[in-house]
Amino acid sequence: MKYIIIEVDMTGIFTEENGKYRIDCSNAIWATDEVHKDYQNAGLHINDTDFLIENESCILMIEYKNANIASAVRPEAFNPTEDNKISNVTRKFYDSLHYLKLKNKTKTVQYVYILEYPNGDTVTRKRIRNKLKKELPFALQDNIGDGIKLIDKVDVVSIEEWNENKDYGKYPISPVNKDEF
Amino acid sequence: MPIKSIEVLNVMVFQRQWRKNNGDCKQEKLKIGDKIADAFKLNFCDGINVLIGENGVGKTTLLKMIYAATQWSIPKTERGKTKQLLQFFSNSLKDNEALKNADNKNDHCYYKVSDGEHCFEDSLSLNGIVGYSDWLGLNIQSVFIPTTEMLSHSKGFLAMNEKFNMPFDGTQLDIIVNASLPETRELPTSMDGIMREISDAIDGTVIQEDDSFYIIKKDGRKVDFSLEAEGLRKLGLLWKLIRNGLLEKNSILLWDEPEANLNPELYPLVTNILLELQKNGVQIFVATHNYNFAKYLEIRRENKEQVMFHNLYRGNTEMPVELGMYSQNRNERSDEVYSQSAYSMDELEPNHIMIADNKLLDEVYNY
Repeated sequence: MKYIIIEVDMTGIFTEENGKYRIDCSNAIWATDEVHKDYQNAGLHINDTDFLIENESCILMIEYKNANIASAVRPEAFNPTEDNKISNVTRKFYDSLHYLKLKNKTKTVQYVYILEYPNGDTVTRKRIRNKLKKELPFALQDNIGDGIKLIDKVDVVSIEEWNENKDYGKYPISPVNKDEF
Repeated sequence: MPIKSIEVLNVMVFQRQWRKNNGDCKQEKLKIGDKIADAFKLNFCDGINVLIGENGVGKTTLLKMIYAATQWSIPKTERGKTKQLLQFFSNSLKDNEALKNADNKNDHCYYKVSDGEHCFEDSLSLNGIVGYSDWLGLNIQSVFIPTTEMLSHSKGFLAMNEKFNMPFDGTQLDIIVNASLPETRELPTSMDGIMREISDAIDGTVIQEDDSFYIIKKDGRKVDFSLEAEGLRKLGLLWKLIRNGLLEKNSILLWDEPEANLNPELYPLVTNILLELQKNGVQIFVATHNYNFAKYLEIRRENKEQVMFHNLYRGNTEMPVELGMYSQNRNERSDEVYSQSAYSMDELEPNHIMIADNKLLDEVYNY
């Protein structure tokens, strides 16, 4: 996802690229939505996830995609199960690890893909989660990690599921303009 | 006219409920007109109604009730066809008692089917039909496809059934009668596409000769129905029902577990056929346990009103405090069948066919 910063809020409330939803990270130990900007400023053309949130026990690496908003172009054509889409989302995970390393964030990562798309449901999201798991370094860290982990968990959730989750919901997502939804 | 609703009280698994006309007492405040005790109710869409839920929550029961009601709307039915709900469940039941809810036999026991203007009520308590004269003559043409494939056993079946007590229920007998009816002279052109699709899938057409059904393959071979794969036999049956003019505008198709014995690769074809039949004016009721089958209906429809999902589930009554004063036995009731309806499967909770898939996917994830 090409990321355009709409708003940088020093209170830890970030607005996603479409300007429709914001995520309140004010309860986080540390959080940023500037991975893309920092990579760009350094002249790096690598991938990045939308948000990073540090809590007591882990780093939540968050990729956000919403094809259900009114301004989405041909949302019915968006197929998150396609191999290239899965590959794209996994590349964002790997490339964002550099950012965490340089920020000396050493806690284990939980990768959360917040996904809204037409006709998506819990079953299709879990199918996507399982596809992602195969491309992420779970098997690699089991084989050679010697106890060290790059990733602890991958999850694919809707905005509603994110907000209802006891861990994720500490950083609630809400519409910027409530009248619009 | 399409069937708009069904109401069931103390028949089989359905009991008296503490709810507001199928709304949710737990979530909303009471309003004037709310009832403290009510029957199970379900409102249907004019298109495809998909019933989902665990085993034993009454999905097939509802289909059979609608079928019984629609059969009662026709003054004369074909010889050998059944009409009574009792016979649709089993040929060995002696009276209505067996259909009454075991815990509430002395309470009112009935099911009521309505098209919005007319009502049919089969009262097990009164042992008779209420509103019969109003309903009779509506001539609601309906077809019930049971889970069991019957056409491969058709040879001499109906004659045997008249002579002997056969262990088959009314829906199983009726489907043979329906498939054995003469073909219509001409089918509406709107059915051409559907017939072509089914014919391609079964690689031919279906005929009946001497009480037996055959598929005449495109290369001329004549294949006995019993030798064909069971999933394809289902498609052959559908072809024959359409060819016999039973699935035309304003008719009703009730299909119990269409996915049974069907290769999942055929789900898109069958759901396309159902959607096409619906566009041609057939109201459809299906009961399914299969997520993929139901999901195909959801994503392939052209507008959301075309397909409605009805989730049947067991739950414990949690009567609101305001209603407690009206009931002396509020704590005695539990494990009743509830329902919720939505145009999207994701809005239904607990959705047991999705829960089942999710459990498998979680096991795969954790493997």
